Amino acid sequence: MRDAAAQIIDRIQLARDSRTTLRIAGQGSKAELLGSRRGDVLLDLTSHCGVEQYRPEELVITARAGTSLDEVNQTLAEKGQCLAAEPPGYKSRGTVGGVVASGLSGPSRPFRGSLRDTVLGVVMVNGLGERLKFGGEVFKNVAGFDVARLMVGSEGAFGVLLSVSLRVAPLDPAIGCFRKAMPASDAVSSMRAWALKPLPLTGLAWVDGVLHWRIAGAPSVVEATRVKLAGEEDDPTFWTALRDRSLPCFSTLVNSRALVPPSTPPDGDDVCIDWAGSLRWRRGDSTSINNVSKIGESPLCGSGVDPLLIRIKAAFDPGRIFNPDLLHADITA
Amino acid sequence: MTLEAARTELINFLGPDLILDPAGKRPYETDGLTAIREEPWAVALPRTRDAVLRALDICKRHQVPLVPRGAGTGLSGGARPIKEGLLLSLARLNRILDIDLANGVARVEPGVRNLAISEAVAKHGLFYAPDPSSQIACSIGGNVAENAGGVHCLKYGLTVHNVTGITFATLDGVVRTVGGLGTDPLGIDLRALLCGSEGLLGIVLEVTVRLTPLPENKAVMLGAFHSLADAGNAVAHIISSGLIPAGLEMMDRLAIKAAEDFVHAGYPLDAEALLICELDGLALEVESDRERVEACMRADGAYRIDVATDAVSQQRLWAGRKAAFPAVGRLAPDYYCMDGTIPRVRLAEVLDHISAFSKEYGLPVAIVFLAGDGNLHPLILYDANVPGELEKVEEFGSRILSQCVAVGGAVSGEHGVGIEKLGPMCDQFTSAELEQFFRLKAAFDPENLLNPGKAIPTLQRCVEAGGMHVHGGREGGREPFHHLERF
Repeated sequence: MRDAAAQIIDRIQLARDSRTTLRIAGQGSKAELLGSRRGDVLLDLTSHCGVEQYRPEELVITARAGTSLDEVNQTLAEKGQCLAAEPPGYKSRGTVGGVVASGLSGPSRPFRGSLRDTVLGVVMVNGLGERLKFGGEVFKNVAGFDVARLMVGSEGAFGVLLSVSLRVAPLDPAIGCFRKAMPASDAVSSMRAWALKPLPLTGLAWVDGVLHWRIAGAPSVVEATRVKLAGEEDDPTFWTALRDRSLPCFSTLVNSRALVPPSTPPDGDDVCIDWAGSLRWRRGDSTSINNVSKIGESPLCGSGVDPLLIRIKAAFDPGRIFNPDLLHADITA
Repeated sequence: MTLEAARTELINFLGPDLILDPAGKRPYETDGLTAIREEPWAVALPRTRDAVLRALDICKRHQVPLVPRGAGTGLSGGARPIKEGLLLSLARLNRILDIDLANGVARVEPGVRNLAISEAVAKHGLFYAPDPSSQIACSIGGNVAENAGGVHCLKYGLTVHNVTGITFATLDGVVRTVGGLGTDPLGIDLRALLCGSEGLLGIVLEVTVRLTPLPENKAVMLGAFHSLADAGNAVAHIISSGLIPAGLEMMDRLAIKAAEDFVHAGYPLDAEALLICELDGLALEVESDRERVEACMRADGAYRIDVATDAVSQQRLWAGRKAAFPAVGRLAPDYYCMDGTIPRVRLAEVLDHISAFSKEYGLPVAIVFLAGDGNLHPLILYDANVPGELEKVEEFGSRILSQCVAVGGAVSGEHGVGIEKLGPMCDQFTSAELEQFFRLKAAFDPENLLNPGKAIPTLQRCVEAGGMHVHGGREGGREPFHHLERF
């Protein structure tokens, strides 16, 4: 537990005044997926850490950006709560700030909402070195633009997160994990049929010729659904391995990540299908579908960035001091 | 700004879809915040996306400000017209474009009514979850602009949680789609920024909404308590026991009495507080949850608990709450509905303040509390015909909202800022934060023609209104507006 906000703001103001650029980093766990950022000086946020406030009965936790995801998960578990979006901490690492900036949600996303959905507020520093608070600790809040959720997935391009308030959820009293062998096309059909039914699903994924599903809720509900969906018992660690990209296929076969309409028919490139069909981990990086990002590269890098996003970047960071390789116009590339 | 030239161009292509005569414009003078009116310069009612884009182009070229409007049910004056601006109604873009069962979404135009979506997909066992009280009339475009909530948002979320794609236009005529049929977009996600942006960033042309499977079973419970504090404790216990009810709302004595007199829902008139709790899910789940909620309520002193398991009695239990606003409206010539949010643990403290203000101003207040999500709706009773009373009510309301901010809440939970809460916004945000909002708006609308003057107060306004409070417990130690002159 350490409050390094003052030092962080000092360093940002120094960078602003001296026109040096900063590459923002937490524990670096997402670099494998999103690449490493460029910038003159490293701004390490791991020293700004600790849970600032946790109110279980209000379903909200506020943690400093450098707090490890493990610490947050443990703190919540002690009170029977969790982060419903199952944000991944790759290789047992990862910070709250890092995972929010990366905008990554786990397998429960289509059923329990995204990490972005649970963000209630942020305290951040913009490129002018100003400390700003957007949103708050309450679930309903429509005062001002929703800058807090805009920060999710922006990879630090708009500012440096100091702390984040997240809505938390109760842990499920019972969980059941099941599997059934089937080809990808059948799996996608099953996923779509089940997703439209009032089933207590919290995971629906296909990999290596097997459809996996996870159900959760009261023990009686899990039991009744187990009977209804009829599959073999599955190892629950499958879901953490899927979340953390530690299934064998991720080390050898996967080259890209695609977010697609969930009913998109699978093709030979789909190695792993998650999110009830919406998230595809793919072999090639073919451009036959939109919304594809190469493993090891940020979707905010590269050419063809919408000028609106560049203007938004300028609205927060006019001197382009944060992660300058993100959201740049083609001309400067 | 050349209004004349703009008028000629608009008439030429809109013909009868442009309203210029005072009688025709009258219904558009106000939205759900009826206390404040303004006659728009002109009202455009385009029928197609192309017509909308053409109207935008004309406004841009002639520098005419533009106020977008959905169904006009908003409660904060977000759609109040500007005297020398065009009121752009999107109500006629009202087609459901596609019900895409394979992807579990519906693509709709902005003028489609909220309830019409649920009605259209009910036969497939689906519904569109956000259900603001005005859902019979309000439109999805307006829902996006206000990030509308509803009775069931504790479990199912607000508009922002249920919209997968938004197609919008900026004034330069560029049409963008963020998100779509899939769950999330890759990279920057502008959807959340657009939800609740009150028409300041772009004009919504199409919305893709997520459809949710209808729950198999439902139960509505009513708990009667001898004090608001007991009911508040019961809420805390229900939530900390690991339950997320579909809806969880509280009413105080005055609200109970008003509702009961109005709709005869069967509410106990001797209760100081009522808790209405809706549970849904699989039949087994509802049954076990019901037992848990009942135990929580009893433990905190509920002296009467009613459970409705059939649709008719469920509707009856909700009827009182849903009619609470108009019911309270019968108690006095006028009422003013506030919409702050607070951390639930601070409820007792905030209610004490409200009750002290109520004595000070001599104006009664009824309380409806969306307890699950901390959204407080104090309804101040007054008589607008008494000179000075409206001003008194506004001051009273502002003080309630300041109190919400002081305990760590927000000045608007679901009604939006519009023009109504511009003053209280100065309490919640520092000058640096407000300037950041304006820079963000300028990234979308550099000429400040889209709904100018709404949602975000200018620094000048904040200083003039004396909004220079140092926030309690606020970090940073900066005094807001430190660089501005004081009056």
